[in-house]
Amino acid sequence: MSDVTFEAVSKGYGGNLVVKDLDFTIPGGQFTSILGPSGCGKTTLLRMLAGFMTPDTGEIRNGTAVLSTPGTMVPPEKRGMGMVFQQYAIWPHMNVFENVSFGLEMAQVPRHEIGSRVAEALETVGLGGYESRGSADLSGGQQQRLALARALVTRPSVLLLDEPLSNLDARLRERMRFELRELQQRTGITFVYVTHDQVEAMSMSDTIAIMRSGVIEQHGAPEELYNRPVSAFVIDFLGLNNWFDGTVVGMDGDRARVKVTSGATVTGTAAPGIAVDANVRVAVRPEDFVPTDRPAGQDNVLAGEVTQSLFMGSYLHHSVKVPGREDNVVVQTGRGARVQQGPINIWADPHLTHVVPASDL
Amino acid sequence: MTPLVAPRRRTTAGSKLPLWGLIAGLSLLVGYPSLWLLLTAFELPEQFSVRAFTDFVGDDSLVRPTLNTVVLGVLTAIGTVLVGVPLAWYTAVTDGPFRRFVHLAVLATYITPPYLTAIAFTLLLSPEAGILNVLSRRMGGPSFDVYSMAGLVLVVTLHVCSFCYLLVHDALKRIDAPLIEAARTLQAGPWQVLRRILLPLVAPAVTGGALLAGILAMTEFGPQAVLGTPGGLTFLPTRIVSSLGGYPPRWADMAVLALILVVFAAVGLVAQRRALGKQSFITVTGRGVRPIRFSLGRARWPAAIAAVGFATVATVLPFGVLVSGAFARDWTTLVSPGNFTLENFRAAFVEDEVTGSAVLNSAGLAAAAATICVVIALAVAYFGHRTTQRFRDLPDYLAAVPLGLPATVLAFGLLLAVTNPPFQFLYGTLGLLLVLYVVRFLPLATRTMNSGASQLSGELELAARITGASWWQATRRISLPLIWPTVVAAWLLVLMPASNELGGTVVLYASGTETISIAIIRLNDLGQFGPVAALAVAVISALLLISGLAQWITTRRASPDRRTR
Repeated sequence: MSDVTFEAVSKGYGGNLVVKDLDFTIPGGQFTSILGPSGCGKTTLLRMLAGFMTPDTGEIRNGTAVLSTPGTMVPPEKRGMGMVFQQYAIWPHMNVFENVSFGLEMAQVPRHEIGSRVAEALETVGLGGYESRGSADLSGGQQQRLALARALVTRPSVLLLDEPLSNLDARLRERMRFELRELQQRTGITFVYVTHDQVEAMSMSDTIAIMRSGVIEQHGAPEELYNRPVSAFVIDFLGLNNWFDGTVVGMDGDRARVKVTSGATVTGTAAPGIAVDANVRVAVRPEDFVPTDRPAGQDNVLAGEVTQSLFMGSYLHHSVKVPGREDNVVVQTGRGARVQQGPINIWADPHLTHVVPASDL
Repeated sequence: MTPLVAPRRRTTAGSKLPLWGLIAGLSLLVGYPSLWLLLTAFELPEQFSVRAFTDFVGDDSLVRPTLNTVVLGVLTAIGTVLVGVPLAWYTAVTDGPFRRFVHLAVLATYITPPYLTAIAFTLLLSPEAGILNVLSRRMGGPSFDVYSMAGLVLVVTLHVCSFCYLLVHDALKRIDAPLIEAARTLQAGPWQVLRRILLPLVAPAVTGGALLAGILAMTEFGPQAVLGTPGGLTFLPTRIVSSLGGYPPRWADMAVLALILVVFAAVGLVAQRRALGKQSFITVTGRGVRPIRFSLGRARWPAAIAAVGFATVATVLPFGVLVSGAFARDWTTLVSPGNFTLENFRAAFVEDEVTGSAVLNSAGLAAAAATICVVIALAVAYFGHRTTQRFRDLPDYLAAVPLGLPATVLAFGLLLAVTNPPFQFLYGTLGLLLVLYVVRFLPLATRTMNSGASQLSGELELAARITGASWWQATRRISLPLIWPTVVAAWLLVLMPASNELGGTVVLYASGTETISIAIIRLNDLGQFGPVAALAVAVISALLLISGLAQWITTRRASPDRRTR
């Protein structure tokens, strides 16, 4: 499977740039997610790749074959791709078999082969034996599977998925995550998965591209994004955080020592480009704060008071009032942790403390 | 598996041509007759004069029709509210009996063309021989003169009340029961619930319905001609039409009258849009609404009698008297075995020299107009829903303009346009009537097509493209089959009114291009009520058949077929 490459691609509507001078390589044969809030340009990116939209500048290639430039377009039907739409786009006037066989007819697959290919595709998604069902009789989850079968039956080199799980209920969504991941690994097709749900992206992807206002903020493996975020946006998008404003007072390799406004000193892992005297923001996830016996005044130790503890089922959620700070610090502990109302010291591991430029967000 | 196809050059310049062609064509259809109305009102292009405007005030033959028109509009609007709101309340939220029958009866009032409703009521209530008047006199009662403002308001109200009814009915149905229950928990009594919650919620629908009824009453030529003219009452549409054969021609004065009518219609429509726009706050999603339900208690049967009584007066009585008149030797007595004859049908269809060709003309014109309207509407919907070009919505706005052009006004504009170069070749032809019908009924087609197209996700077509179908294959296999029921429904929706258009046709028809409506009005003017009733029955039966067909198609669309291989 060859890589898909975007080179200096821009796209705008009426003077408003939705995708800005984008350079981006989607590794072939892998599961890549494009993750971002609504309006960040991720769907535009996907539609340009599908051939539904023409880029204003730049070039999109599959391997060495040019797919799109502002002047030339390989039409969607000649791209050898498949797509699963957010609303599934199941053709309501066709039954299950006809929905799946359509692509094979278009590809002029011999008639005697169509039946077995359709059956095989339906089997793959767990809809074996549903051939003669009307498409209106299917549940949301079944429509989802049908859309997948329809996209896979033509054996595309690239499968595009536009928030395909967002209309399913939570339980089904969780199961489909595993199935999609498994399907990708079995078929080796390049999956390009657009979503705004970080849990989906994290759990399925080989790599994730986080997109913001038309540019890709960071592209890497899920662990890399989680452990080495480059910006406040990336940290913020990947979950709840405690934020501290401050100034860098010392650097040691990629470690930054930061004096935060509430008075404490914190050491954390610095994003690229951080230097002494820089205004920065420091982020610590609730689950990365732990109750500690270390004395206040040591680096990364905050002294405060637990004002409220909530039982959340699999974990406990504590609000910690820290002097000199307006917002409470949120700390998450396991069910077994013995945290009581009243004074507490909490500590964050420097590895899990992220220092990013303040300019951003 | 990289695609080996050579990239295709995109043709960007050529793709804008169809949209601009459509915009130009629609502008011509809608704008050209309007332009001639304006020119004529100012006596252009020969000279420029505002005489027609200044003379208007002092000329009673112009002021009186204007005032009459306003009075008719206002009274009908009031009458519609008085009739439509209680009926809507009865069928939408009470537990009264026969709600379904009343509902269908009210909707059916609009299928009958208004001039036929008017004719039916002359058979019932003409001062001398009207069947009900004769009956009343025989029992020592008074008689009612239908050739009067009161008669006209009655007949037009019966015809147009379905709009107000339907709007209020839908508004009431959309009110979620918890809205009422919340008020009840706060100690509000039934009267306070009605005054503080229900009425404010349906007020926009009531206003919107009343305004629409008023506009229709003012602009509808048929009843004004059938009932007003014999009673010596003139209105703007009838005044314009009656001046056409006169000498000297008073083109400029009539153009001014036409413009006044346009202003009435436009102001009314804008006000109506405003009123209905305010309704958005109760248009929650359709799902999850538990409709309110009032128990009528002891008022159940009196209410039922009133509602069913109205439905009878509005539908059964006029249609019944037409059927009776069609099959009776003498229309002033009800049909009976000794009185039965088919002579009226023979007289209407065989003996009359106009009717035969009129039926053919109407059928051909209606079919052609429906087809053209649907094709244009398809193009309008395609650009509006499937392209991203600038100005893609412009055709839709242009196609809605005729809503503000009453039929008589539009036809008068067309008449002025074709008595001047370069379109004189259209004068007196069926082609001219075809243009009239296309422009007049285009909004009907575009509205239907738009609602159909908006329910079709563009992704259905894109899914076909990415699965390997070319644009044409995707259109032929996916989009066309899915939009087809809407196409048929839109076609039938245009066909029905186009087969019976009167208010504009009366301005533009010539010897040889008479339509069925002209034939009926002509026989009516000659006092041939038997043949008129026969034709009316035939026309209404055909319309009922078509509307039943349209109903069947649209409900079938809602449940996609379950074909198995």
